[in-house]
Amino acid sequence: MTDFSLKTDKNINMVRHYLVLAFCWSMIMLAAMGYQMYRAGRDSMNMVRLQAESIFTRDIIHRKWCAAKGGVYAEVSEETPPNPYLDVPERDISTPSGKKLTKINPAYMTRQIHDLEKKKGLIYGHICSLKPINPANSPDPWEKTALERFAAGETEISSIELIDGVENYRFMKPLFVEKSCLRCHGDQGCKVGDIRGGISISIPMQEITAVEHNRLLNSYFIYLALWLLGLVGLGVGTWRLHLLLLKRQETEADLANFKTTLDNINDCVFMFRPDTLRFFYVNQGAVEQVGYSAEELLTMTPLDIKPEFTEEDFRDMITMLVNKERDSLTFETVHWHKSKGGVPVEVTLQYVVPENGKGRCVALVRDITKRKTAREEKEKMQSRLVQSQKMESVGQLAAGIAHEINTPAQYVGSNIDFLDEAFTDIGGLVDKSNELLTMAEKENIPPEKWEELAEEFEEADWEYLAEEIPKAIRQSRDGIKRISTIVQAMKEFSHPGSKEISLNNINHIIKNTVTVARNEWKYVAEVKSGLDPNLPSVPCLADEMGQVFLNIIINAAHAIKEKLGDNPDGEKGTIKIVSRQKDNWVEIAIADSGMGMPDVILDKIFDPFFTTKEVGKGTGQGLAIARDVVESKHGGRLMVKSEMGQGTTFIIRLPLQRKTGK
Amino acid sequence: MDKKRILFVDDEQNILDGMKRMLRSLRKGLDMQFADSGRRALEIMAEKPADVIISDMRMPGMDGAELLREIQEKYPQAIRIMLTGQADDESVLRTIGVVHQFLAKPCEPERLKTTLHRACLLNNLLTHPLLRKVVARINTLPSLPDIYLELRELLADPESSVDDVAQCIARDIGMSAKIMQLVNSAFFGHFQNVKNPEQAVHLLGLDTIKSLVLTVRIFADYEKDQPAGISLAELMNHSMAVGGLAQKIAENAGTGEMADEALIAGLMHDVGKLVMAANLPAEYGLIQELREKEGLAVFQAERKIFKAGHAEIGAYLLGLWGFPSPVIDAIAYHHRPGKYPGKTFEPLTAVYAANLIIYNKDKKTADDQYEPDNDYLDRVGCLDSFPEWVKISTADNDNE
Repeated sequence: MTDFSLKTDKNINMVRHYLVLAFCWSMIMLAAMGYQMYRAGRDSMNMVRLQAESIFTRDIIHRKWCAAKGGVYAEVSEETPPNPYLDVPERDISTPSGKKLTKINPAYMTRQIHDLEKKKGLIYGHICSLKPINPANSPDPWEKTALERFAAGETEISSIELIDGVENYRFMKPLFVEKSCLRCHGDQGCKVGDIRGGISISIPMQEITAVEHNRLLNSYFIYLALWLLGLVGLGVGTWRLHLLLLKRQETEADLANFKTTLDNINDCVFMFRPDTLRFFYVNQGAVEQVGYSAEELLTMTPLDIKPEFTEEDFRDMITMLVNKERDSLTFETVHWHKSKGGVPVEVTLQYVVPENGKGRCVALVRDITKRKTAREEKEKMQSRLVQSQKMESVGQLAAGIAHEINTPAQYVGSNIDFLDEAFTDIGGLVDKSNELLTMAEKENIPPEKWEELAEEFEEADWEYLAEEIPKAIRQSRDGIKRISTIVQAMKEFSHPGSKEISLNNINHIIKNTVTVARNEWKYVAEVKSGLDPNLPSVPCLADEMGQVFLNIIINAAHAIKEKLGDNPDGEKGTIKIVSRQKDNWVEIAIADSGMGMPDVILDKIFDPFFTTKEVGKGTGQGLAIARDVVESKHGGRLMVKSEMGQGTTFIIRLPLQRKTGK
Repeated sequence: MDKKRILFVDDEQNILDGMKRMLRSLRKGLDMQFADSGRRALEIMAEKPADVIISDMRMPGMDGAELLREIQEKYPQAIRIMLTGQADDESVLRTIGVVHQFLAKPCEPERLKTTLHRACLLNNLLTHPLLRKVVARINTLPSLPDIYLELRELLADPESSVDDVAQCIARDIGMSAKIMQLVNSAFFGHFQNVKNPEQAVHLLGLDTIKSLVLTVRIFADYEKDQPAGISLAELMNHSMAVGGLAQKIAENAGTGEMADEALIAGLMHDVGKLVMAANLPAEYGLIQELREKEGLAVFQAERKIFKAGHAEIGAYLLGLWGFPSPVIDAIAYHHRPGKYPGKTFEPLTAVYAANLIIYNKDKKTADDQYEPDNDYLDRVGCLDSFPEWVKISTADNDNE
């Protein structure tokens, strides 16, 4: 709504603006046209004057020519009767052949030419004098006035006069008495240089006016066209100007909005010059975050609020951005609040070069106090999760390990009981034998004693004992060894030497894990291992890597169990564990011959809490934690490939060179 | 007498070898068979069924629980014992329905031998093959519907304490017997002689009891099908009374240890009636009929039909379930102490006397009352004590 009315207002303004401009333009055009008319009139007058003057001059020249010849003779005719007003000797002569000739003096010649002109056309001259010899040369009233004005000293008179109702340009110049004139006019008392009369030229204005009008009409059209063009041009111009203004207003409004928006967002925006590092813009968030006013900030540099940076470090970063080595830099640091002290922040720094503008550094700063707390919380949680998952699997293992220990304990116990009994039996034999030996010394053995010994042998079943006692001892020894192995492995598995990353024998960790997990896999699988005996020690967290192997091995066992199904014949799958060095990595591959997983599941297996096992069989944390341990804590890779019905292979890669720090 | 045939099943050859050597001294009385897989065990059973099977739990392919379930179906009279190093509750719960006794690996040779010995002797208690089959198949005993309901409510209520549950279970002999079986035969690795049902419940803990009752359903819910011809409530009251008195008599006459056994034996002395009523209702009806027609005592009527009484049946069942020998003997001979060869005071003496005193107390006229077996009392040297025991019972009543 507001926007719309705003535009209407602007439209009105624009119309007014246009009208003023159009008015001015019209005025200019009118003035130009008026001037043009004026100029046209003047030009016509000048032109007609020139024309008149040239006629006049020509008349004078004719006269001079005639005068210089002392007049010329011409055949007398009707048109050329002898000039009655010429009173000179030999005015009329005859040629030897009898032709009559009369003298034509300049005045007569002029008259004749003028008469001819008058007869022929519109322009005509008239020679006149206040004291004419020929009365026909008497001046008309206008000429008379002109002649009088010549007498008063004017040299040229012209005006527009009506002659027979037709506008005529009348032009008149005086004729001065020259020496040649005196031949005729000398008797009138004229002196050389006196004004004798004048020649008036009349040019009808009709044609000239017509030409002038025509020209004016043309120029009116041109003016009209120009005027219209101008109006249109002005209209277009105004409109475009209006649009431009609108756009500018919009841009300005946008800019204002933009600033307000920037002021209102939670993040802080700092802009500073890459060279001076001086802030030139900060939003409200920034002001609030650091506690300095915007004015104060505009005199400061990022270094004033970033206690963790030296100018050198900071400029290095800016240089990196300016040189486009990096598009942006995101880092966590501390901003120093004017009064509250350090605030943990995440800064995203960019170098931006606006079109037609100077490059600037823009820093988006976010207060991460909460996030940091949350992250610390999450990390704690994560570590608790790892711990609890470990406890969970250790708990799960405990039952299996108990079984692993109980089994040899059972047969060791049985064997010892047997050996105990056997000893009793053998004891009887030995006693009886001793008795016989004693008697033999005395060479006095009654036959029944031999029988007794034989019975004793029968009773003890010496053959059986001789066969079984060594077996019992051997099996018991094996049993004890099995118990020790598993106890030792369990001990190492749950309490490895170091909580820090240290060099460890990965093969040893794998063997231990296989041992402690034996009860998990032995009913469904054989473990085949191809561990490279020359494997270098790997920097790792022994207990967490053990955990990773355990999770994968247990999953492998479950996958095989699932594939075997009911399996009344007790078939077994395989779990193949291979370790080897590959360039700067140690690679451990754990492959099972289980069910395999479809891609849908494969995509999710590393998601926390994802599990395909029934409730109570697992928390779905195992592989999520495994990936976290391998990738986040060791900078390694945990990869998986699987083929339905064929099995799954997990590949763990651990770097041999551990970068310092996490 | 035939040699008892024992079948050992374990996937670990060393265990079988050890067992063979250890039990060598018993080779004259026992026909021992060894199988390294469930499949092999079934083959051996098919050749000639064994009387006792001792099986491992976890084996590749068919595991112990599956094997024993199959044997329970095909050869119900066989005594089924699980010997396992497995300690997780899940596998234990899976076996409860099919296993008579549970032994933990490593099992002391003495205990294994005793268990085997007693299992072999049990067969002498009950000669009737049908009965043997019936009893060996039993997983549960009838409970009082009210008590069962109450127990379920208690278990559903998060406020309940283990004490509430223990007291509730102790009031029902069917439940008590089952709980005692679980605790005494090392199902949950406690492996100690638990003296009374309440202690058993405490030992198992509320969560285990919950899963046993609600998931595994170790107690039968007889609400709908009450066994005919028997008043469960009456039986319970009588048993509780006998148990209490037997305990006091034993305290009076001898050792504290005996007092506990006397209590249990007293409580359980009529378990056989429950078994018959629940599992042989037709025959049990006949017995009741016989009793009324011919005026015979219950045990006499039973004997006539089954050649065995509820005493032997109860003793056999609890024997299968691994109850201690003095308890079994007390139950087996509580109607015929004269047949028992013992010459000293034993839980049997207490249970016999208590049962007699309580029985007579309920009968108003002297005609209906039984005379004590003075020969027996004399033999065990308790003839003089008997009147004192009667006094204890009356003092008890007065107290109430």
